[in-house]
Amino acid sequence: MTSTATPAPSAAGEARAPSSTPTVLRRLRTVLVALAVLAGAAAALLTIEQHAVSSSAGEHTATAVMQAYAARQALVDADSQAVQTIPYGAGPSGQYQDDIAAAAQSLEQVAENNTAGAKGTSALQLLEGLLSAYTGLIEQADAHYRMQGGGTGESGAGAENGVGVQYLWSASELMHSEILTDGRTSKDGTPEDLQAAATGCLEAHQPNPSDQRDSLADLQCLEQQVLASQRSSPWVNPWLFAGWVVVALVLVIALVVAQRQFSVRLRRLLSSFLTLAAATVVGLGLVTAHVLASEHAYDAALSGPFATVLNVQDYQTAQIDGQGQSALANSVIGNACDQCARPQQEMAQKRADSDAPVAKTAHTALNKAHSVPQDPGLTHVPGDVTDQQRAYEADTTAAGAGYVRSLALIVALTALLVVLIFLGFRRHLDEYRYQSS
Amino acid sequence: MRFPAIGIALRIAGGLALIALVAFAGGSPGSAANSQESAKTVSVVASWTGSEGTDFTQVLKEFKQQTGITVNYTGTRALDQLLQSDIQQGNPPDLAILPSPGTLLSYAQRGYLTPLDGQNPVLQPKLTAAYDSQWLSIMRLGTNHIYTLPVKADLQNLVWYNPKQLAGDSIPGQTQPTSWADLTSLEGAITAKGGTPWCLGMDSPPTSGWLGTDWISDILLHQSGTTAYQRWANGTLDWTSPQVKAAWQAWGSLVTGTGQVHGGSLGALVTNWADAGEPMFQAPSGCSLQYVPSFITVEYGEFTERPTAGTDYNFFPSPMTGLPDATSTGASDAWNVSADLLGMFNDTPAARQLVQYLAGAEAQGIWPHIRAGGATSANSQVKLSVYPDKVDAAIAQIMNNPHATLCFNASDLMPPTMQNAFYQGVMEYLRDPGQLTPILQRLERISQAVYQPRNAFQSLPTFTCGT
Repeated sequence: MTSTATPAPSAAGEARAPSSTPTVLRRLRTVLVALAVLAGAAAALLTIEQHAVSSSAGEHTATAVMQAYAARQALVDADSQAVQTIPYGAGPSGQYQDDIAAAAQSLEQVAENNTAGAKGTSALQLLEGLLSAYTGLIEQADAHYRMQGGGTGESGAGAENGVGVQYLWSASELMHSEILTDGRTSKDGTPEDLQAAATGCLEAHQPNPSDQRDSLADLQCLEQQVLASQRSSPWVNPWLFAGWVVVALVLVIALVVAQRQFSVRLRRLLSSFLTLAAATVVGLGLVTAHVLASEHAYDAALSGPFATVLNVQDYQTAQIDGQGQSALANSVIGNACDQCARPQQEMAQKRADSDAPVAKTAHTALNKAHSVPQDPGLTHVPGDVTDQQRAYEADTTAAGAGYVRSLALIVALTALLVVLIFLGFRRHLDEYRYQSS
Repeated sequence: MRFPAIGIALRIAGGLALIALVAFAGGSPGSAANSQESAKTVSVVASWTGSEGTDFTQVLKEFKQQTGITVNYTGTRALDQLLQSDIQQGNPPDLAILPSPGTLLSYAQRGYLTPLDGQNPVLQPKLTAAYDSQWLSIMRLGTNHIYTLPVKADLQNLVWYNPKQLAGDSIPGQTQPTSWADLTSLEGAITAKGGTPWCLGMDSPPTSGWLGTDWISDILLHQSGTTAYQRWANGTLDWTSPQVKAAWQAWGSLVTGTGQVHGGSLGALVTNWADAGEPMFQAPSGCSLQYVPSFITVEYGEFTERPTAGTDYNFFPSPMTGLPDATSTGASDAWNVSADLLGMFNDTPAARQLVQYLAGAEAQGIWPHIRAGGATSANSQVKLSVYPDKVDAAIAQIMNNPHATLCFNASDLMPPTMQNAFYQGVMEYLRDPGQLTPILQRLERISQAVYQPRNAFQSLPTFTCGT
């Protein structure tokens, strides 16, 4: 085979001679290989980073948020149990002990999955100290009620036991004003809603950033804020994939330019290798798009079962707290002394009353998410929390399942792309080598 | 032939590669930067939250401006529990500010606290010279070394009232020390008008009951004198002794009778100390007098009625003379004080700088200058003009009077176990005064256990009033 495009000798006086065909082809090959490697590396980087963000949000941060909510529910239940059993001299119920253990376990899970950094760690340490103070007060209350033999007579629970009442009140007050505060927010599961809830919640609890509070609500806020920021991370921004498409398009255009050079300079038909390389670029794009789409399943899991878990927990927590605070106002303080501690009774009753709208909001969100008919009695909760947690875990596991395989495919396609480019140029460059020899 | 498209493609590829490199490199800060960061921070824990927490951060803000060092401040009501947990985990804060010298002493004895006047002293004599010998005695915690620094000081034995409400009544302590008769006479006048004398709140989880222990300490000091007071604080005066019993009974005579306390004993038990004074400013008023330390002005400032110093609230000293069962040694010139004392758990350059800053007159004057900040400084170089109103200035004047004997609040000097038992005892007594004898017997049993030296070579330090 001969070439009609033998390089012309350089003309004297020209500032710069036009490049010879082999030089042009080598440069073109270098550009194509560089672009192929760049496209492959960008696809891999995009996949790795998006998976890292999504899995961190879906597996760690979301777990921390859920466990913080679970701890809250367990603590509210413990307090409610204490208020309803200790005044009768029966001691803290087994349920109280289980709740405290469950809360401690949930907080351990929060610590293991904490993504809120030093602030989260600090809040956890504070909570540990406060919980220790709370259980101490409950033990003191129990000791006093037992000493007095409870108060199950006509006069009601703990009527004669002022110090026991004080410790119970003090414990419940510590639980509500220091440990829990009000970290409940309605959630429809969208990143914007979570971001707004987390920001609003932090602003509400920490008007002055240096005034660090020591509540579970703050911990909930911190973890939720991290989750919201992860869900709006630049790595999960669809425009980043659009950027990758630009790189891929440049590569495809460069492949077309190469085909044209073969046609113009060498008068050849299309190179089948370069055509295959263009198809490989499209394949690389499809694999990357597929990986990114499956990563968005994390997002769907957060908007679906995850949001349901939080709303169910809010709903149940509010109901339990309403019962507990109502018992504290009426059975504990009211029975011990009618009217003498009116502000405290009112405060407990106010807390109980404020639980009703929280439960209603959570229930409305659940209805909306699950198309459950309105239930004025607020008695229906769609599914057990555990079921929803399992559904969430299944969704996130499925979302991350094909990640390694897809990443390997991206690497393989990139390698194939480079090989095809080399093969596409090899014959023509070899011809020049034989000619020069 | 030229290939301009190739040149453009090369430039684009180069640009994209650069962006990728920047994205890869931008993720993790270097370890050197982290290490520098840790040298520029200091962690502090204290019990101040809410308004007090905000006031303290004003003090820290100035430090940050002067040094560039960031202070990670944590305020919590469960301070003891947090500190114990941190120490058990081997991760104590650099500095902790506690109201109890007894608790700080227990940390010093176990080797957790760094002396501030050691071989490489944190506090140079120039700084300690600003503290009166009485305060230096408190700062030594009964040992030979300075272990603490009073960040904020408070006067304990004060009775607060609303001048508008008691207009026409004879307010004691205006020209001479308040006598017991002055107080009971005022109580009688209030009752005669159909009012309730005392606003009392014992609730303060997890240290509910401290208000009663403070009050009993005050009564014992003025009833039986500094020697008995010191012996009691140091564990050598029996809880069942006549002096201690008389102090409890005198307190009981003020607060356990029918109609003496707003809401009765149960109301007092479940009312938070910070909220207890609010009925004083309401119309009609629910109660007229509140026994509480000088830091109460912070809480007054938060009431919806927004009372102002001097016009809506003022104080007179609690009785210093003529107390029932008083002995001839009763201290008529002594004042009960308390303080939030700083202890150094980690000796770092940043922590040293913060301690030195907090000891100086400039920092000591920031919090007292805040209106309704409820802070007084123990630093004698802080001028009276710093205080924003006459009420605060009058408290500072008493505190810095070189002729006054200052006695640190006894319940704060006691070891933590004794202190907690004391808290519990006063609440039981308030609810059922008939149980005084068994309560004191139980406290005595606890005292015998907690005041035992841990080994034959260790002598227990002793706290003293005055120098």
